Amino acid sequence: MAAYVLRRLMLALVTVLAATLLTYVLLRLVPGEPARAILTRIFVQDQAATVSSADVARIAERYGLDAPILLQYGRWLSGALTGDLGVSIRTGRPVLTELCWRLSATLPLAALATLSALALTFASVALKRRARSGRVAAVIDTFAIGTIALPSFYLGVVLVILFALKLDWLPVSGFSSWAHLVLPVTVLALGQFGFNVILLDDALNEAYAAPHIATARAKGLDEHAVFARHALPNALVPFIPYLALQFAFLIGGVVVVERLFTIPGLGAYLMDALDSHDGPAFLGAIAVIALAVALANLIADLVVARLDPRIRLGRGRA
Amino acid sequence: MTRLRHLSAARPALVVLLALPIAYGLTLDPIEASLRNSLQPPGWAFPLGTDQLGRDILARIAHGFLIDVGLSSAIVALSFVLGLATGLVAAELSGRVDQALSLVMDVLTALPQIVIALIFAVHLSGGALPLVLALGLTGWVKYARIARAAAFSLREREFVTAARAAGGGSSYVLIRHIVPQVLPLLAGLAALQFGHSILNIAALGFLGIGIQPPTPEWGAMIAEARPYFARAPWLAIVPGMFLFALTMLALSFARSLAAHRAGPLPGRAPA
Repeated sequence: MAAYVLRRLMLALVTVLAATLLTYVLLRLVPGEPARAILTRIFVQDQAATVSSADVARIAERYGLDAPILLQYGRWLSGALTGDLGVSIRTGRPVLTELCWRLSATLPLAALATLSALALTFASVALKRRARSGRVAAVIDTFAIGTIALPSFYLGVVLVILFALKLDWLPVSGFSSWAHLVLPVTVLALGQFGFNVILLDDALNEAYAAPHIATARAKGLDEHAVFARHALPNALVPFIPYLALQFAFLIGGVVVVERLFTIPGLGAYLMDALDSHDGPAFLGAIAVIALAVALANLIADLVVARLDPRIRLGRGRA
Repeated sequence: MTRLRHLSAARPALVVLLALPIAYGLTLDPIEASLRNSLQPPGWAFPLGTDQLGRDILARIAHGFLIDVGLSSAIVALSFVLGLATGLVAAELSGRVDQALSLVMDVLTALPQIVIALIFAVHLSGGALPLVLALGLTGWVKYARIARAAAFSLREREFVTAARAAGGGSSYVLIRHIVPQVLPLLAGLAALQFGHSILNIAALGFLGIGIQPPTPEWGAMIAEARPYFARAPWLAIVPGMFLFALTMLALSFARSLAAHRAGPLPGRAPA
């Protein structure tokens, strides 16, 4: 168990390091000197204006841009470990402060979306398994597949046109009341719903096919106990790591949804940083995303290890 | 995957629904603007209406189809080859190389694909090549996992041992005996990835990354329609319907191809 946890922890660390290093290197390979870009952006405002090379050299020295790239990354990393993610080139404010503020919009959005998607998933799968009618199952399956083929930005656009512009029930964009949350949360939740249903249903089918279910029924256990004690825990073993992967997918959806609904969250911050070539801000946002996804995977691994003795006792899956 | 049974039945209808308008639209000019005709609703002269510059939506959808399908095919091809090669190399060399490659795969799976594409977008601003690289270089992991698992289990099979005993070198055995068994396993995945790539290209187009206007791309078309949601909703709704139909089609093909995987690996699902 300890070795398993240690290995997963290492993987999480490597993931975050690899993501930030890749981003750092790619950011620095952008054509044009970063020092010159900083100068023209902040001090001159006019992109076409010429800047003296002496000024460029001074800025490069001040921001440490003349050091070898790995050393620069090392400096960034040691700063990041002490909570210093640098200063946004666009706004001049500390990136960490800005990220915290952005997360206060994104976290409730992502949490609500995940919870709604899970509630909808369990309800649909329960309905499907209880109904025992081919038609109900077909409707749920078709709906699930449909939501997979429906990209979140398009679903968002259609919902905006229908509910905000035509019916005028909900606001078009912004983030100042609960009503503003309805459409973005719906889009994000439906984006996860399809795969959730298919996976949970398959996992339950597989769990119920195991011989020990027949044994449990044969010894007279009632269906609820069979489900809660024997089927569900086994079905959750493949389902929970998948949920962590789904979390990564959710972040991709957040980027799109925040842009569509102009929500000032992490995804919008990432896009703004990209559009304005704001290196420190972009890197900070990537670091937070990588950390969040790595944490989600780690938590999933630990939960699965609790559920599955083959992993807990160090046998089976490596 | 019996879930897609109903979908396969609807497949011919879907193909016709997609192919007819696209074939007709390809004969029209997607770029030519005429402000006199701007924001026409769907009607006789313009079956799917016109956009703010008076460009024919049908023509733009048809040409956008070529672009999305072409890019998606390129992405699938890149991922397929890269994944197959990596998976086979990992299985063939095993040991440390295998462990290192597994680590790379774990790291790549842990990051959202759109975010990786955004990281690439920083460096390679706009255009088709960065898009293909960003999505292709992240999409190969699933192929590699399946190819690796299949190659590992195939190595123990009698016909592979027999080929070795008969004096076949390792590259001969690989190409003659392993690869032909692995390829069908990857076919379903390729169709699935094709559908996903279409959605990803459109999502990135919607975010303003990747294909740049005036080249017609479905996601970018929906983003461009934003100021006209109230006045001309068809501008956004119509390209999305084609996007949806094409993805459904790809998903149904994925299911048919996956059904063919019964073959030389009876009952042994790739882990």
